[in-house]
Amino acid sequence: MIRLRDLAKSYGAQTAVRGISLEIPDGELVGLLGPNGAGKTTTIRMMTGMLTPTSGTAEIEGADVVKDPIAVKRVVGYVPESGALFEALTAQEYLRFVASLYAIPEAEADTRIARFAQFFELDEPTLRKPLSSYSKGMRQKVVITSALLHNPRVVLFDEPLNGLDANAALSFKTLITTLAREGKTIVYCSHILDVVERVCDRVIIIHQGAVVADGTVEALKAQAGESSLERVFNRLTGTENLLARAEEFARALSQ
Amino acid sequence: MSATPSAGLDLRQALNILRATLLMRLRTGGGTRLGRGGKPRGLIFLGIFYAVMGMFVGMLAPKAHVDVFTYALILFAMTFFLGGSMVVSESSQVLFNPSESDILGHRPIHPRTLLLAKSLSLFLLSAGLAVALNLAALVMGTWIVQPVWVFPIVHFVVTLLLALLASGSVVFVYALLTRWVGRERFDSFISWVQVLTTAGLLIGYQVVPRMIQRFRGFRIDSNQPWLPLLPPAWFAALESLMVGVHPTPRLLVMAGLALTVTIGVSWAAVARLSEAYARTLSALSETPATLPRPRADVERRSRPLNPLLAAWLRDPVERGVYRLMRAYMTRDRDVRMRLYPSLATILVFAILPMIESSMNRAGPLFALMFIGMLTNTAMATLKMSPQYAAGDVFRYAPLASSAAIFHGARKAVIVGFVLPAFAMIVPVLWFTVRQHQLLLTILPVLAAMPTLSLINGLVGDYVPLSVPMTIGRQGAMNILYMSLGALAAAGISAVSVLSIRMGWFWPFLAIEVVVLAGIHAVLLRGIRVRPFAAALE
Repeated sequence: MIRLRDLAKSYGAQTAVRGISLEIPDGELVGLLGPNGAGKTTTIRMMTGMLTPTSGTAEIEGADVVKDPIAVKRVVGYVPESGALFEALTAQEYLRFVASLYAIPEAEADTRIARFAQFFELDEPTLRKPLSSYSKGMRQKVVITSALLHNPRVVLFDEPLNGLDANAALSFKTLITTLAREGKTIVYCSHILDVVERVCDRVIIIHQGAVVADGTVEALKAQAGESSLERVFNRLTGTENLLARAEEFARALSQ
Repeated sequence: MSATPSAGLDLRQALNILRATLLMRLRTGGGTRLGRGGKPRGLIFLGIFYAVMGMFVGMLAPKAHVDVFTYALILFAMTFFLGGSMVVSESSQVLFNPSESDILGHRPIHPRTLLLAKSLSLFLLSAGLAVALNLAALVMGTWIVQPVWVFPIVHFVVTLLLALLASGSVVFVYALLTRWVGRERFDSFISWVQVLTTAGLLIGYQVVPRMIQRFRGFRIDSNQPWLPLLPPAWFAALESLMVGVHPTPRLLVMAGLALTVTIGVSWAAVARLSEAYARTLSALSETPATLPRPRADVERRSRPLNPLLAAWLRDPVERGVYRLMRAYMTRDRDVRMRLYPSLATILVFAILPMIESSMNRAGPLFALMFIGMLTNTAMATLKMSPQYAAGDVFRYAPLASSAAIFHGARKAVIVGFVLPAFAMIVPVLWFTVRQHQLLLTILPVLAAMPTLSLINGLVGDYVPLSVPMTIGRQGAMNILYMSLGALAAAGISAVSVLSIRMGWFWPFLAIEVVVLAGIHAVLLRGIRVRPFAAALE
């Protein structure tokens, strides 16, 4: 269960997130959408305990992110947008290292690593090669594995499909729906609307640091009187008159 | 590079790239993200430190009444070796930044233009530091040359020329290496070249002036046959001629070398080697088509730890961080480049007693004390990484205290760096120090080492590989820790030598061990109980 109450974050005079309140029950797969700079990543980072909120509260599985960040971190898995890894390590070494941070015994960590590697089609010799030699997609598989190694009850994905090929993306989508069915709470933050539309039970749209829509895809479409999630998104986040603006841009280029 | 080979040098484009580079450096200190890089404080500190250092050397003019050639040679030797090592240490970041290929590689920029912009950027860095070092000398040199306005102008111009040689040589050597060394071996090769060059420059900085002083005193005859082997002497000759010293054939030859080598090397680097440089830069950002075979050290480190280490690293977080740090210390180009040259300073102080008898007592003590501070410089070095974003993993992991992270990194540094350095230096000292009784002073230093290694854990949470690299920060940090080491060396050396002379060395050692054990326990507790401030404000 995730519970946010008036969660806000400001940097000086600039407000990134302005008083978000929402609840996400166990086993729900929620899509978090928003245009660039809407405050999605800031919200997610506050939910992981990495960023201190300016005001408001965030509770993950009953633990407050400010008062008890360690309890929160034990139950949260996080895939950062940056996809950053320690590239001087091999994949196996990196995953063992992450396992050590969650106090997973080495033998148990190796078993889990092998299971994930099999799922993502990373064979044993590949796991023993340095991450600096991996393609972007292969790195992303390691990042996702590292977020799930400790079997978290809440998983926060920030643009998880970055660099994944079509097959890996399909495997990943199947994985997250399975994880949600097993009772894990999943927040899926992305720009790719059709994936969110297909896999998420519920969609939350953030614009300029505030929630502007929250509901199932069908409910949002009905509310807005639009035929697709993309059009709902365009309307709510102020990206209308696209055709006119594109024409004006093309005219400016040709002048 | 997408530019056509027929395209030539575009000066305006080069200046635009240079302007953007300088703007980024001023705003982020050389890091890639605004806010996490901060201002270039390291560079500013280094500039001030160099200016103060240059002031002491510059005082030679009014105090020792040296001639122009000697004065210029001492100043240029200091500038060349010190400024050169700084340029070498920063050059890989400036010249071979793989992420830059994605930004500039697909633009219509001729390789020659790109290399010129990078070379100018390095030149401005070396010129800034060279001028800082010579700032006081510009004024104090007026004591030895008349009319008073001549020396500052001439010295300024020749200093810039020397800076051009330093940066031009670095670009030339690296551009040449891009021709000879393939993409697979380039990363590893270039880092060891940088380590060895920096070590060579540091040794040159300490040893050459002492050899000059030992053999020739403060009046160096410009006709010495070995002088043309030293680049700083070329520039001293050029300066002497420019201020009106009577031209001799030797001065003319050396001044000619200064001009021709500087111009020749800089031209050859940019004009002749830019294509090979551009190819390597582009290749550095590519993922190899075939993954390399696992390396022997990778295989070795994947094995379980030996029982002794396993007992020392019982905490799983400590063990994980230990392995991470050991991997970075051996495999990562940037870490190797910043870590290992510091050993050169220790080696210099160990071999100084062979060159200068007055260093028989102080040399080994300084060497040992620097070893004592080695953990701290290495720990500070290991905080920085181009992959600093990956350091966020420590922030979202459930860690109540940063103690285990700190101890894992500290133990990796002790096992992988400090103890091997100690093993290297003790036999050297045995040969160079004539009074073996002085080697007893190793023991107080050894006793202080575990406590000294806790210093980095006292000032906030220690999170390795989490700070972006910024120009000048490494140099500033090394100077800070080395200065602390020198101060501590003065204290411990005085007490140790005195205690040996008065015959109460062993009681002194026993008291030191008891006091340090108490301090150690207090520091360990302080580090353990402090909560980890993992969240960013």
